[in-house]
Amino acid sequence: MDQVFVIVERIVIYSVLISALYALVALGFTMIFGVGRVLNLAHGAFLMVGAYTAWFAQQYLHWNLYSAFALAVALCTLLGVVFYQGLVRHVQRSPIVTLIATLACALIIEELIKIFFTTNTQLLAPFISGSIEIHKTTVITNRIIAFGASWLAILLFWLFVHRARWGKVILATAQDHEGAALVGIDVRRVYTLTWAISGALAGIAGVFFASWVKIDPFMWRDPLIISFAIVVVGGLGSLKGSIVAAYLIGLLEVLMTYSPSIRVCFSFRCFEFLGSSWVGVSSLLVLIAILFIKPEGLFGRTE
Amino acid sequence: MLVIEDLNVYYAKAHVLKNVSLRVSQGEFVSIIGPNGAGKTTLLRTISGLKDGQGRLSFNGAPLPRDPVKVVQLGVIHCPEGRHLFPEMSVKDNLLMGAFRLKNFDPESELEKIYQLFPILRERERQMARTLSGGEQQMLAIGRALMGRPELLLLDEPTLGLAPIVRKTIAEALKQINDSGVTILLAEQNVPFALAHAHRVYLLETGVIVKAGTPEEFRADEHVQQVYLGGV
Ligand SMILES: Nc1ncnc2c1ncn2[C@@H]1O[C@H](COP(=O)(O)OP(=O)(O)OP(=O)(O)O)[C@@H](O)[C@H]1O
Ligand SMILES: [Mg+2]
Repeated sequence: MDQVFVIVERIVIYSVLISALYALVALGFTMIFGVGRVLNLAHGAFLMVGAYTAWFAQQYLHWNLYSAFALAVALCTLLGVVFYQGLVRHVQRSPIVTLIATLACALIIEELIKIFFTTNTQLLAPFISGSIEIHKTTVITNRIIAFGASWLAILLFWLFVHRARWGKVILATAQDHEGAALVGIDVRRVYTLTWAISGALAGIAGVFFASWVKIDPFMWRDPLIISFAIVVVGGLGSLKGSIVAAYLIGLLEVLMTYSPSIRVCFSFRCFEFLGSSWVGVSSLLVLIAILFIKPEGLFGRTE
Repeated sequence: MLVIEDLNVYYAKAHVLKNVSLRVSQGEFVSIIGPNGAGKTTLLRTISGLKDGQGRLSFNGAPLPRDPVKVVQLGVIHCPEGRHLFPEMSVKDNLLMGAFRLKNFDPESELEKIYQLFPILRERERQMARTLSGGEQQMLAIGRALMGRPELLLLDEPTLGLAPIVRKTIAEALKQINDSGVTILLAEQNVPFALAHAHRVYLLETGVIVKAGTPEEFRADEHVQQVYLGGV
């Protein structure tokens, strides 16, 4: 009985922690979709650029982790803007072309990273090493920091959108871009701003992902699948829905990792293309389940 | 104030506006009437820069910019067909968003003016725009346009789908707005409504202006009577 309790406690704590990171991973992706109805398949690659930037700055330039983090966020912000101005702006009208173009960019980034770095899987150094005990569960301190930072970023984002003038301008544009243009809002500028924010959020998420999960040239896939599932499950652009969806996916993943019986149930060959990643599997399972039960997503409106 | 000369507008190969010329003077209330698909919406969208067109458009003597943001900056404000409100924002936030172009303004006194014109909006202040009735949404759309302090107000079918009583409220509001010095260009299918307070009227049919005149002349015209005022 005690044993069961310990396992349950561990599952709860781990899923609460990892889900916050997933919510942050998906946040920029959700916003871009919510505001401009664009699915940015390079979102995971943005995270990867952030991860490699921090890693490179720390490993080769011998920067301290905080400066490396700042550089990663700055670079990803810039990447978001350049990506929108140089590419998305011109193809946005056609969803199919946008999907293909953003996916192609992700693959190009993957190839570039393979050329410049090895394909070895590594981990970014933690902000604070060591671990702490929460009741009977051992938790790596850095994950608590990632959890706190993720929630802080989400909270600041929410405050910005709902309180700041430009946040409201983004909301208005998301709700009706023609209405926005007709009150004199420069819709292009709003889109550029959202891409900058999305890039910055991806940079933050990328650094924590790198010190929690992994760094390698393929690391962009899981974050993209997570983001995609979260956007659909959460109800297409709803922030509240995204967070709930992130927690569903995180919980299922932790369940699959820690309970062999559940894992066996889902060990079909058809999931092998996802590698051994339970993140991918749980995202897709939640996605499929929600699409059956509530096709408009958890917090979606039926339009 | 607004002068349009030989305007031609196309959607792909479809020629939707053909050599349209019209003018609106300071303080005027001008209506454009015409059946479905005549090109009324296209004309207003071209004026406000949402649609490209070939021809000369000028406002207060200067060429009209071809960018909606710059057109709004001049005080030409378009209250579009379909309203285009921000559905998940409150009535108040929708109105405040209407004042986006203004640098210095006192939100409370500006809101007060709108609430005087449409008292129902005050009661609905905190309600989401999407939850308003059609008539309330239309009042909000007009209110939001007014919050931008228009010199020239472009209105596209404000009566679409509204009950006669609400139409009357809106007609009276438009009269008041015009009396307060705002120039109005109204595109409308409902001819009695369009003629009610207008100073001058244009009739647009399949992209061509076929008649211009005063409401009295329009009411007396046989073609207009038969096609637009007869029957229901
Ligand atoms: N986006 C578009 N693409 C192609 N054709 C269009 C488009 N918008 C309008 N048209 C065409 O242009 C013509 C004029 O349309 P417009 O909407 O300007 O008419 P309208 O006078 O406003 O009609 P209504 O009274 O029904 O609103 C129509 O034949 C219409 O089919
Ligand atoms: Mg129309």
